Amino acid sequence: MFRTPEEETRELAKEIRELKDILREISRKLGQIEGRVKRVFPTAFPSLPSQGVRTSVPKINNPPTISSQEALNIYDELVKMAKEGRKDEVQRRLETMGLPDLAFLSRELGVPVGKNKPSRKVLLNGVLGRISESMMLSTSNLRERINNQQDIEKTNPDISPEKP
Amino acid sequence: MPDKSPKTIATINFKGGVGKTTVTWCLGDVLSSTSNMRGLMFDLDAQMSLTQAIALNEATGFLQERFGKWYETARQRKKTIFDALDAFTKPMPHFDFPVGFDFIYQITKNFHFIPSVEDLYWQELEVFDRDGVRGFIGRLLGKISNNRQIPPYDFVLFDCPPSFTLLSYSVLSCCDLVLIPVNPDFFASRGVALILNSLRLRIEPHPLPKIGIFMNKAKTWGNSPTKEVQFYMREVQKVCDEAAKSQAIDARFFKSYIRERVGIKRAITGGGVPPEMISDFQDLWRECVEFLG
Repeated sequence: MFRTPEEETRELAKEIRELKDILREISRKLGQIEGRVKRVFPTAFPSLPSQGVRTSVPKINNPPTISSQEALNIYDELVKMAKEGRKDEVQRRLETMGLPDLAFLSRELGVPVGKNKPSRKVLLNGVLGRISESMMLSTSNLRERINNQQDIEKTNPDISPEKP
Repeated sequence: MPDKSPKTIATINFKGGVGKTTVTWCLGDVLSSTSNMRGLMFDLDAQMSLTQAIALNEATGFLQERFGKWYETARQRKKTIFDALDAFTKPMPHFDFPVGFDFIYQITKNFHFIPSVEDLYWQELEVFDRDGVRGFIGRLLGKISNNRQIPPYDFVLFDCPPSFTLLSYSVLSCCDLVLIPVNPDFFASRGVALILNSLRLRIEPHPLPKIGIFMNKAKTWGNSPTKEVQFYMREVQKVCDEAAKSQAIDARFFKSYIRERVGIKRAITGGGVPPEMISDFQDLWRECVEFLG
């Protein structure tokens, strides 16, 4: 049961994200199976004719479209949004960011990714981790955090935890 | 008349392992060996890290003979920092504790040292009265300055323990600058917020000294801090600005930083600050002096 349309939309968006994650995982597993079968029965997989012009997906090594200062400004904006409780919006903004820009932002924040070509998910989690750190560092103490949370709940009762 | 009183600087952080002891010693060593300045350094930590590091001869692993003999004599003659504290807190009209080179060890001509003793653990057990101890360091410095046999110092450094002891309270209520080293990681950066937000409460009603924070153990790439270090530098800067505003304290995050180098860990026991790091400490000192005005 949803109390407001906004709550329903949020839940829907969450479920879509979860389903996409599941489909990505299934696709990855199918790819692995296909690879193994191809190695055993190469003739069963003739190379497909070209399917016309492929749309070019920006690669991680492509140059970013933002400067170092712009990346830091974007980051400050994301931290501000997260502090205001707009975490879904932060997630969406990062998800829609081009891969070269996301990789650049992650580099500018010194996120340790460990690989030459980290996946979008790794980069996204790295940036989200930095945002959490910034939030925890900027709130001086636990009592202040609790008070802030209470203020948010007072002004926006929709996000209050459900009471029994 | 120019101000002749020494600049008094306390290195403090409640988080252990950030490099308080090494930074304090390196700063004193660099200043006393590359300029005409004369400095005095206190080890106020009952764990005695600085004292043991100075005493340890890396080549043999035994106490350096000169310091070892001097230290034993000081203990026997009851001329340690603990004995001074004991004398100060006795219910007597005067602070009866003559100071001389039996109390102050001369590491070099321009760099002198007051070591710690294990007995300092007692002050953590609250044997002493808090308000009774507050004026101790100030009075002790006064005694040292007034002694004609001891040359005047240009700077006095205090290596404080990673906890708030009565001696930390005494130092903080009389020093010019609190120097807080921080490391480029989340927990160390979080520690800065905690210390900045609690210092005022800890030493009220006495006014807070100026507070300088700087990045220690900064990894570099080329001649600049790595992006990760830069991230934490920006975050600590924000923490510092926020605390300065909310706590009404005079806190500044320094631009200068101390680079992470393997050699620095052996600087005290192994005979000096690595030559390539001298400029790091000179830059830090310049910023301290500029901040103190």
